[in-house]
Amino acid sequence: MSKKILVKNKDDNFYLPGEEINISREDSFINWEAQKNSGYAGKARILLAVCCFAFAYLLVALRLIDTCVLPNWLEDNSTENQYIIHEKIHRADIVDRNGTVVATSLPTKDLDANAKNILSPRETALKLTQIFPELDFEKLYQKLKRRRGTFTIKRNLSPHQQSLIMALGNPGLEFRSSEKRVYPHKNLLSHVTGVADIDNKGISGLEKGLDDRIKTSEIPVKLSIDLGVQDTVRSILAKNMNKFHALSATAILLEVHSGEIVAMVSLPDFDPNNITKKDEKSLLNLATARVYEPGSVLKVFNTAMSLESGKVKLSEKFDATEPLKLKYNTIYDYRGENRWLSIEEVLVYSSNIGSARMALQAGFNEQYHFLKKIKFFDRMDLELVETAKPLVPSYNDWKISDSTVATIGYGYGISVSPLHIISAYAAIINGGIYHNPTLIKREKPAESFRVISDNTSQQMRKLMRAVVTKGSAKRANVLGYEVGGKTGTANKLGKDGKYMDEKVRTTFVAAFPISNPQYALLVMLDEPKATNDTSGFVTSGFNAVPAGGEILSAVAPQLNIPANYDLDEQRNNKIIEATFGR
Amino acid sequence: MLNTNRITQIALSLVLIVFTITASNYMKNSVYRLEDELDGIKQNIQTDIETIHILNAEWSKLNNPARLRALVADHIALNPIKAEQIINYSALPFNYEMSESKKEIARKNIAKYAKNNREMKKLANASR
Repeated sequence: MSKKILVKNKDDNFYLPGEEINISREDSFINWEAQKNSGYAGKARILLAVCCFAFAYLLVALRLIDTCVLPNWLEDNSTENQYIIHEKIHRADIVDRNGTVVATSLPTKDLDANAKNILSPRETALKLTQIFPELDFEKLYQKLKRRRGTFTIKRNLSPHQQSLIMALGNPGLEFRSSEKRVYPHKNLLSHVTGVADIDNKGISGLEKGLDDRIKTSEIPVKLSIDLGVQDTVRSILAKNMNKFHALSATAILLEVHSGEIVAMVSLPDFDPNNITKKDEKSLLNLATARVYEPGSVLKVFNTAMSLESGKVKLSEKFDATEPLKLKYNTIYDYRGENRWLSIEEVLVYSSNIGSARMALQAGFNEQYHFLKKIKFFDRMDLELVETAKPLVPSYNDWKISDSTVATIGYGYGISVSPLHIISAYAAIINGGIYHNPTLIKREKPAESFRVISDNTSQQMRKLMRAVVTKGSAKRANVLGYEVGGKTGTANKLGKDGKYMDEKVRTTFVAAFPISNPQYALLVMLDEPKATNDTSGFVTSGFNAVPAGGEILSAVAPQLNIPANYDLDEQRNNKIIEATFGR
Repeated sequence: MLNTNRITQIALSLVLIVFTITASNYMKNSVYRLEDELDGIKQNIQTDIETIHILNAEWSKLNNPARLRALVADHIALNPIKAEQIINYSALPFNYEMSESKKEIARKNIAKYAKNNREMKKLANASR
C-alpha cells in the first residue's frame, strides 16, 4: 500500500511487475512539500530538542535563584516559629517593697483530651486514672466514649506526670501551656494580694483591684508592704489573738508621712494557694471591708476637732462630776473620776462625759465637717476592692440631735473601717496632713491635704504621749521609742439592738516616736476574753495595748527607728513594770 | 564566525556567573547557619528566663520569714534586737569634749553608774 502514499493522483497508472520500485523521482514525489524544502524535518526536531533543553536550563536557573536568593519557601515556615517559645506570662508578679516575690505565675502544662482522636477510650481512661488517682474512672470513660469535643482532664501537671502521659503515646491527649498563680508566702499576705482564679482573672484583693495593670504590663507591682514587718506583726497578733481567745484580730502599720501601708494583717486568714470551704469566714479583710464603732479611739479626733475649731482651749476643764443627761440618753463614764477634768485628763482617763461635753461645745457643724474632712463619710480609696462604706448619721440627725453629737464625741453612733481610723490618726499626729493610704510603693507621695494645723497636731502629740505614760496605754510604753496612742473599748451591738456588756471590741492606735512620728499602728481585737493576766478585765488596756506594745518593740528596730534610749525613762519604766507586773 | 574576543567575553561571563552563584549560595548557607545558631541562643535565653522566674519564686518561698525564724531559732543563738541595745553616740555617758583629765572622767562615770545601780537595786527590791 506504499504506492498510495508515494504516488499521488496516479492510481490508474499501469506498472509492469517490479516497475513500481523504479519510479522516477519526478513522478513519485510530485507535489510533495518536503521535496521543495529539503531538511525541514531535521530542523523541527532540533528546535524541539532546543526547547526541551532550554526549559530544563530555565528550571535549573529558577531553582538556582530559588535556593540562592529567595528564602526557603519549600520548607515549612512554621518551623521558624517553633523557636519562638517566648510564652508571655499573662500576669505580672507582685513583689514587696524590698523586691521579694509575693505572687507570681509559673508556667505549667494542662492536659487536654481531644476525644475524637482518642484510641480505645476504656484503656485510656484506665491508664489516666492510674496516673491521676483523684480522677473518677466512670466519668472520664463516659466523656471519652462520647468522642465529641476537647475537654481539660487535669490542670498543672508535674514534669513527672508529663513524662508518664508522653509515654502513653495517645494522639488524643494534648498538652496545653498554661500558668499557675503561686503565692510563696501562703497566709502571710492573703488579704492583700487576694487571689486569681484558674483562668488567671483576679477575684479578690489586689489581684482584682489591679487586674488591668497586672495583665497589661510585665513589670512587677511593688507593694508598700514589708514582708519581714508583716510577718512580725502577724505572728505577734496571732499569738495575742490566741492568748485572749479573740474571734478575730486586725493590725495595720502605716507610714505617717506618705500613707504607705507597711503591714496589714487580718486574722483569721487563708492560704491563697489552696482555698477550701472552711475558709469562707476568713476570706473577708477585716481591716478594710468591715465597719465598726470605734469607741474611745474617736476621742482623739473629737479632741483634735475641738482644739482646731478654736471653741475649746487646751487649758479648759470639763465637768465630769456626774453623768451627762441628754434628751434621750444619759452618758456615763467607765470607772469615772467624778471631778472636773482637763483635756489631757479627759483623754488619759478616757472620759465619755468630758468628750461629749467637748463635742457639744464645739458644735455639730464643726464635728460634721471635720469628720467629713478626715474621710469618715466615704468609702476608702484604696487599691483593694474590698472596702466598706462607713455608716454615718445623716446631716439632719446631726443638726437636730444633741445626743448624736455627744455620742459620736466618744465613738458611738458612727461606724468606720480600721483603715479609716489609722489614716486619720496618722494625719492628726504627722503635722496635720492627710495622706490617702496606699498599698503600692510610690515614687512620689499620694494625694494629700491639710486637715488640722501644725500647732494642733503638736498639742495632740503631747496628749497622746500622756495617754501612754499616765493613762490606759501604759503597757505599750516601749522603752526608747516614745510611743503615743489612745485605747478604745467599744461594746458590741447585740442582735436585739442593745449594747452587750461583756462582748467588746478593743482597739489601740499608736504612733512612734511621738516627738517625730514615723509610723502609726492600729491593733484591734474582737471579743477578747478575760484571762488571769488581765485580772478579769476585757478593756483595751489589758489586751490590745500589750499586743500593740509587743508589736511596736519588735517592729521598730526592723523599721530602722533610732531608739531614744534614756536612763530616766528606763527608771520610770521599771516603776511601771513593778506596779503593773507586765 | 566567533572571534577570540567574543569567546573571552563568554568565558568571562560564565566564570562570573559561576562565581556569583557559588558566592551567594555560600552566603545564604552561612546566614542559615547563623540563624539556626541565633534561634538556639534565643531558646536558651527563654529557658533561662523561665528558670530564673521559677527560681525567683523558690527563693521567695525559701525566704519566708516564718521559715527563717524557725531556722534561726534552730541554728543561731541570736534574739531579735531590743531598743535597749541601740544607743546614739550622743547619748553615750562619756563626755570627751570637756577638758577634764581622763582619770576624772572615769571616776565620774563610775560614780554615776554606781548611783544608777543602787537605784536599780532599790527598784528591784520594791517590785518584789
